Amino acid sequence: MRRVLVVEDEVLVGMMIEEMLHDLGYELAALATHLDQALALARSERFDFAILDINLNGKHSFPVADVIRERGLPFLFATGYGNRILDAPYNGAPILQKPFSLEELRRTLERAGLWHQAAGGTIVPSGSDAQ
Amino acid sequence: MASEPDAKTLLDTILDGIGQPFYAVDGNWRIYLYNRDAARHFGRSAEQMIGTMLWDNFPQDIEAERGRILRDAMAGRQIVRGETMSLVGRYVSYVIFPLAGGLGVVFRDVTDRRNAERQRELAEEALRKRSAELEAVLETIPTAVWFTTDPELRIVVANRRATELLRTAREADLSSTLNQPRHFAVFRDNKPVPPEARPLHRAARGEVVTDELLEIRFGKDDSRMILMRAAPLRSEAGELQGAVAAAADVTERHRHEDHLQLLVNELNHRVKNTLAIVQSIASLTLKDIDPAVRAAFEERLLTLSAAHSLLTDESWDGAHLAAVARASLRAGRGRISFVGEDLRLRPKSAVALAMALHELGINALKYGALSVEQGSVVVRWSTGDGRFRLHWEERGGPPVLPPVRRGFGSRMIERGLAAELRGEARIEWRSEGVVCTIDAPLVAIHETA
Repeated sequence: MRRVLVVEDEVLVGMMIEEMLHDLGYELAALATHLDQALALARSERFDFAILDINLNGKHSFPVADVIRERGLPFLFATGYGNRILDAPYNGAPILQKPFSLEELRRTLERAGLWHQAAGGTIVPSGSDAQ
Repeated sequence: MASEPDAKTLLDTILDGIGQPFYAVDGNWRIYLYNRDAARHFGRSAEQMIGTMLWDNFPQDIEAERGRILRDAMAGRQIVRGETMSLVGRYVSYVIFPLAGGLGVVFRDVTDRRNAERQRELAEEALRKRSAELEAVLETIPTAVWFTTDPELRIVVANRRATELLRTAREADLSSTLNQPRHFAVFRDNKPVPPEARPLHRAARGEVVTDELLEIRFGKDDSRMILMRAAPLRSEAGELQGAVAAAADVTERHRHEDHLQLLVNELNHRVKNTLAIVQSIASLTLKDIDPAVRAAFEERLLTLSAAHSLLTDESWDGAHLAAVARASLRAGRGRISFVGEDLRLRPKSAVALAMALHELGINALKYGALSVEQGSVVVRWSTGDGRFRLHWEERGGPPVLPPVRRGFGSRMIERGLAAELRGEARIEWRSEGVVCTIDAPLVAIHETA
């Protein structure tokens, strides 16, 4: 099962993302809620891609993105800031606008080339699929 | 060849030929020569004048300046030249010369010339005054102003504020400062702007420049934001004669706007984060209860979030109805057509309409026109007579049955939305398709109404 590193300072939102990932057939590698914790996990943890909240208690998560990029692994951002928040080096990285639905997460993964039907999740059909 | 004319004819011809008024008096002021131009000047014919005494004709002038000049000339026996008011109240330039025992007087009417000179003096005085006023204004206003009188900006004049703004000495050569600036660079949207592409240069080539926001960089972390306007100066014939440019320092205002934008972004971020947390709590709480309930809740929350995003994009000034409608009806897009001229909504109306349209859309997807392949929806809106009217009409769906119980959606529209817009909202469960009509005063929803 493909493993996902989730960096999200709101634990409840992190837990929901974990549920969503589970529904889509992914496994949570780790949930980081602080920048240093996220940096450590980004360096050492075994994962296939990462979902990074941009604002971590007032700090940007871009250093985490740099570490992940150095490892040659993909990542996408989640934010409530709108699309213009991204600094130039990260232009082009997929962004999930918070709050997002399960379907929005699935489609963003698809656009980023990270969605594989083979993931074989247990997607619960919901109203959001119709979007 | 004709014989020589006699002396009298010769004299008359000469006197009339000199083209200026001339007369002569003997030692007793008796007029004995008086030419045609003198007759025209005094308005009296030679027949009337010759043989009469000068002072009998102009008794009031004996004691006047002109009378004194004539009497002094008679006594002094010198040639006298000067300008004075003539015996008939015109300005004349005269030559008085002794002639036999009396005087010869030749003069020229210069009243028109003197009037013209006086006019010019008055005009010059007015212009000096006007220039002084203009200069005082230019020196006092907080706006920087530059003038140039040629397209290459060889000659540039600027006011005090302009030299302060560009940090040049008052006596500096502005032409080289503007054509090859050394101590500053100009940027527009962070891109360098070469001298020839700046407002004054463009205006000097005939372009009108309105409200251009430029950044003048003097060094690292040392720049000013200016708002500039410039216009060509043309002669009455339309020929380019130079240009004028004005700039206001908007650095502080710009900083405030940036700060405000930052706050709005921060607020939006917090709202979005809070909505995400609410979504998480609901999703984790309702996880094992009913997926449909959870989905309906999530959809409403995401619609609210989308409406907030639209408002944040415009710093919470308002949002456009077309954008609100599209964001609220993401489901079934393509089968919903929108008819109506776009209008700006107040923030609260934008959120209320977004939620209402979302409920109609979800209902149409589940039970109405959008639940079948061939169904469609037309959303029509109009403004007129101070009213806003929106009409939702479903077509081609399965036969509609009125609901047994009013759901959340219809309650929200018929009660919540109606109250929010201070108008009426009605849903009709027509068998051929659901119709919803909203009728509200325009002031309640339209931003500027």
